[in-house]
Amino acid sequence: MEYGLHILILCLIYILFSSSLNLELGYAGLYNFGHVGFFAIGAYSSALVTVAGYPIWGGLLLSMVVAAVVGLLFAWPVLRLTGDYFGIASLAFAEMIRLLLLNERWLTRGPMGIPGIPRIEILGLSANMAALIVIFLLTTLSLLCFKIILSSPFGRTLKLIREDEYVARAFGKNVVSFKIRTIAVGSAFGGLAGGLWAHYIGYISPNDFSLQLTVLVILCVVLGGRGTLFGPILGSLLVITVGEGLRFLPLPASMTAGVAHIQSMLFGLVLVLLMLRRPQGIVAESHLLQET
Amino acid sequence: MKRITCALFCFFLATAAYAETVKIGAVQPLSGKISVYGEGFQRAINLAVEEVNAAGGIKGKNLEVVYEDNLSTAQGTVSALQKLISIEKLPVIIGPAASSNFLAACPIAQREKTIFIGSESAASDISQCGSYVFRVFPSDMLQGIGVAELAEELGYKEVALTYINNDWGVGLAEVFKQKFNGKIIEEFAHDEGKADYRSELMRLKRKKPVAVVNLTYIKEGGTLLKQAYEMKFTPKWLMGSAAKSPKLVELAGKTAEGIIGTYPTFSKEGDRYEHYKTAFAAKYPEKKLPIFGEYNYDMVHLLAKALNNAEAFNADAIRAALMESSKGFVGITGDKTFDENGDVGATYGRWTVKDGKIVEY
Repeated sequence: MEYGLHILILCLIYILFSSSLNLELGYAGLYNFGHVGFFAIGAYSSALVTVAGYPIWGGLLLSMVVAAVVGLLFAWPVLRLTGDYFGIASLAFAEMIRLLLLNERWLTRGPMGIPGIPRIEILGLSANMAALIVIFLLTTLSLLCFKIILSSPFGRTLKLIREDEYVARAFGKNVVSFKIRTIAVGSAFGGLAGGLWAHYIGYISPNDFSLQLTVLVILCVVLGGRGTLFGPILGSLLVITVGEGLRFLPLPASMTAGVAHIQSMLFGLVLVLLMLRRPQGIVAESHLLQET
Repeated sequence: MKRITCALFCFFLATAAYAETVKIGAVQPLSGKISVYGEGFQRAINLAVEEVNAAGGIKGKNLEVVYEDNLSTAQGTVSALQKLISIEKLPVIIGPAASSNFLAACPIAQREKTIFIGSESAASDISQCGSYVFRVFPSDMLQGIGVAELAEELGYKEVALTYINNDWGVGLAEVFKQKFNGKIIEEFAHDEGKADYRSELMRLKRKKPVAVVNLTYIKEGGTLLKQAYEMKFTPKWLMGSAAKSPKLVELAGKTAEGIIGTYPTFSKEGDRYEHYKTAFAAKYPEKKLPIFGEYNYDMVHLLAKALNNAEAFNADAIRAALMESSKGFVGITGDKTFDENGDVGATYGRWTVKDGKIVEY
């Protein structure tokens, strides 16, 4: 039971995390390889203030604000770069954040990490049930926000920018401003996902926010179908349940060591096959501009 | 029909055999960054389990360990632990190598009232985990004090301090700073796994320290010593347990001569250690003795003793039995009597390098 809830909670957190990335990657066409940096910022912001005694809702709010502000500061110079250069800069950004967390020991306790992060508690429910309810509500609310944002003119402009920046400019749209706002919003929700993760896992250290997590979340988006609301949801559900499901393979004890390697190989294979066979992901974006 | 009956019979046999085991869980890094620890631990645990079963098992039943991989990550540790607690419903779970992963899991074990026992996790924070959390490995606290005492006994009033930038290094350095009655003239962390530490060494050299406390790992230690020698920087090096390896001497060559370090010691002589060594070699002829394997071996034997003494197979009964059974339990790694935090004591030995060999100081 608790284990089932645990899987559901992980799924929900990854749904939120990958959906926030989808906003940038799927809608605005920004290949942000540094999204895990904002996840880390959110996790640390919320963890630090709640360990100091502030309430969890305050911590989560702060994690969104801090991630959004850092997102703005990051996007401002970096969005002068386009295409691949943006991807490289974002990758470097995530590594910078990790090193910062590792070395600014007065603030983050460095490699010691932060133990004893308060867990979500409501109505005297069991720990996982309480976390599930709160995380479910927040994730649903966030997805609603995404839906509203994306069906507004703002969302349609993002798609236009992704398809053709010149056309967008010809329509009088300030492309850089749109992208900066997208990154700020995406980072805020990425930060929220990080905050929730920190309160659920209960212990964070800089090593948790590695490149591996970036790859995993990109897989969630690309597998499910970028540029769609349901794509990342489906992608996250698949990635998490398949990953955990491998624990139930009836393997002898001496073989369990191989499971993780099988998992990585499987994910890699899926990614390659997707790119070759179905680059749009499982859920294809509707109303795609028809190529002539 | 015959075939079906046969299959059914086999099934019942299998379930009958299944019912005859006492299961405990283990969360270990079997893949990922520190899987080398997890694999070694698994071997030592399996060896001890085999011995326990050969000696009659747990009240006549066989002991069995259910392993879950934590992928060397905190999230993986939580997943693995949740599965062992809620699906397998095991009251005793062996915790993973690496303090950071152990710390992620211990609040859950405490909350779910499950015995969580570690064999390598050294972080001093673990002492505060709660009443269901134990470890058979000494806390960093003790080694930090050991290094401080070493420096004082050698008569150093001023030392420079550098340490590897991970939970082990930083934790140890913090304790050292508190306990050392002298001046620390320079202090910084160095990153793991670099090929070049010349700028760090320059920083040390400028302060002209007589002695440098260098709490680092094997590869980093070798590189640091070698490059220091090349820069004609030859202070007295004081080191911790993690660098104590013939590999360090191999990497650093004659520059390693004369360094002094501390380590949690246990006698590698005597019949019982000899027995462990030969048993391991017989079971795994191609494998070297794993680092900290002895602690895992002791842990399983201690657990088996507690399980045999426990009045019932539930966490509270086992917890009481574990406290009781540990009193005066001397394994190959020494006395494993738990204190009120579930910690054990340790004797710290000192090592030095003489003629290219690691010897007792």
